[in-house]
Amino acid sequence: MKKTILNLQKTATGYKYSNKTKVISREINASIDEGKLVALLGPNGCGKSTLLRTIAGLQPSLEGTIFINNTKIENLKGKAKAKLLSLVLTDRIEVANLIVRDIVEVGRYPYTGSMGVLQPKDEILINEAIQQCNLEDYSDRMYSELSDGEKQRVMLARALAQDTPLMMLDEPTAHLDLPNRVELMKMLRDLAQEMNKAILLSTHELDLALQWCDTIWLMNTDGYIESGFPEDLVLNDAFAKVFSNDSFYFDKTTGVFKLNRRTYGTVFLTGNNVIKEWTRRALEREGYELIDNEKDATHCVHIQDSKKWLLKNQNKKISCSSIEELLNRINNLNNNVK
Amino acid sequence: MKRNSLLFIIISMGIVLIFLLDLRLGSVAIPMDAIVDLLQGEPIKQSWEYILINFRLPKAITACIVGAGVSITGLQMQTLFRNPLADTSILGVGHGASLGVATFVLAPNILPGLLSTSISNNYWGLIIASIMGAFVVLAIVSSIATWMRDIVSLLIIGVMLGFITGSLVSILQFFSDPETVQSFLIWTFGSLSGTTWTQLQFLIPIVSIGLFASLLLPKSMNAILLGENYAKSVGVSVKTIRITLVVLTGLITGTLTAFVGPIAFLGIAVPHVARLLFKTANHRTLIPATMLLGVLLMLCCDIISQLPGSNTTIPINSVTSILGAPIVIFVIMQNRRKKSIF
Repeated sequence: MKKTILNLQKTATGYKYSNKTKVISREINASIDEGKLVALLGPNGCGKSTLLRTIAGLQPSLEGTIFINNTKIENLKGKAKAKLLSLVLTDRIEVANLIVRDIVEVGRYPYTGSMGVLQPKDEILINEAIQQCNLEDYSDRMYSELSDGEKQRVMLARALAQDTPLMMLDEPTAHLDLPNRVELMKMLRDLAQEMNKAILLSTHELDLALQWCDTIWLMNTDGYIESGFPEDLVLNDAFAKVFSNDSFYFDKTTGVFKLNRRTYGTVFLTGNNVIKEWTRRALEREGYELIDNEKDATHCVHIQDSKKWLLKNQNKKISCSSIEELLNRINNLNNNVK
Repeated sequence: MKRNSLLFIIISMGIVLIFLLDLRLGSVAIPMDAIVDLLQGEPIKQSWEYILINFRLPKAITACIVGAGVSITGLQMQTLFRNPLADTSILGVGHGASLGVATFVLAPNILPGLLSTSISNNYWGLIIASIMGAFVVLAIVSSIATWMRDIVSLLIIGVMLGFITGSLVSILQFFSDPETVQSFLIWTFGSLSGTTWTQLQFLIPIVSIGLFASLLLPKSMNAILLGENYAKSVGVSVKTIRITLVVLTGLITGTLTAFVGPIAFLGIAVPHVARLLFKTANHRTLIPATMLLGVLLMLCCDIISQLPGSNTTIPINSVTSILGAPIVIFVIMQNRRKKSIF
């Protein structure tokens, strides 16, 4: 049986001011087992960062208990907590003149004495962390000269060097481009599985979370959390409830958001599967609805081999050589009808 | 790593060389052989020995202590406030210490009930007054800094506090008798040559304690360099290190100001020179590098202030300002370009 690393019981987060208490989220019951990658997902401003900060002990919880490795975190002080939990935050590091290794070294601070002198074991763990984050060639480079993706990997290596059962990352993919995002998520997934860590990351990027995470903690705008397998949350409409509004909706079949737009017409589409898929995307973006019935459709499009689109509208037949041409033709026909 | 070790050796040798040069230069030229002989305990010409032992040696030792002390407090302020332009003179800490001294020297004039003291015979009183003054300003600046992170605003507040303390000193002077005011004014010019062996008996141990304690802080200072949250996340108590830095800075600045007067700009400039030379912001290197470079630069400033070959001495504060201010301008301009601190 897997060991539970993080356990939240009836936790409430928020801010306490002298005269009033502002509750951000309440009644959070959730846990993470070792070896699991969990995404905390929710719209902007729902309290993801507040929850992470509360778990990290950077701000006190209002109610409930948080256990890491069966230890109440309120009872832990500085170093002891730092041996259970490491962080990657959104805080920018503005310091020039620090090399990558200097920063990764900081991860070993909970284990060193008051002078911070590194033992051979610390050096080994630092080297391992640098290797695992593909930073071997960077360890003597200045942190300030790295790209955003590389910087994020440095902070991950720092957290890794801290050698904790639980790792938390606040929006780690926020400033990264797609290849870097995918690389980071893959790295996190490998780390969770190979090193048996529990990793919790907050994000608002649904597709990444759906693709890479074992469990999703879905937080709605009121700060309540629904926890479950990504696929279950899709099928039970949890995503739809949290993210949808008047202008777009969550499409269960594809797992992406679609805009609610008025339709200009209906299209019956036949032909090669790959080209059909991309043609469908273009048509839907332009506001056409795809239907399965040829008779009711305003337009019929047949995809021929050799990348040709044959557009049939009542009695006309037009051959198009690109999706762009096809859509221009359809739009023209539509305008003429109006 | 090798490059930095070499730099440390070069700087240390430079210090020895400039220290000897500082002993040699002055209104009376003393040959190097005589200086080396004296340092080895061999007898030399009596007038030379008198000059060296009573004037030049205390002055050069003071320069070393002031250089290391002012520079390290500059580094501590810069790391504490995460502000590349922080320094005890800019943040008004030195002015606070001056106000402490002014209150101590001039207050008995205004409030006749108080026991009259003079600078020359109550060193403990002078030091404590100066340290208290430094602490008051540091406490104000630190409490403001906790809710105002903007680099420039903090500096403006420091400058304003400097104005306030300056005005308070002027008011004190206005109500005091001319003689006390004169002795106070001479003190404000800041001079390394005024220190005697008696004063060094206070200066050396107190500042050395501060310097030694500063050498023990690289870990915590590196941690707060990454920001408060990261420091907390690796188990470094941000509160403790903040208080430690404030206490050390107050202690060193207060003591130095009590005997030497305010020294401007060296505190900002030296840590930046150290970062540029050693190409690191890691405090393990930076703390000793800043101290040694501070010693070296202060000895150079001392030599310049005597205008080699002439009998006049220009105030040390002016020399450090002329050397330090351009470095500050350079840092501001670089900062604009790179958008990063340190």
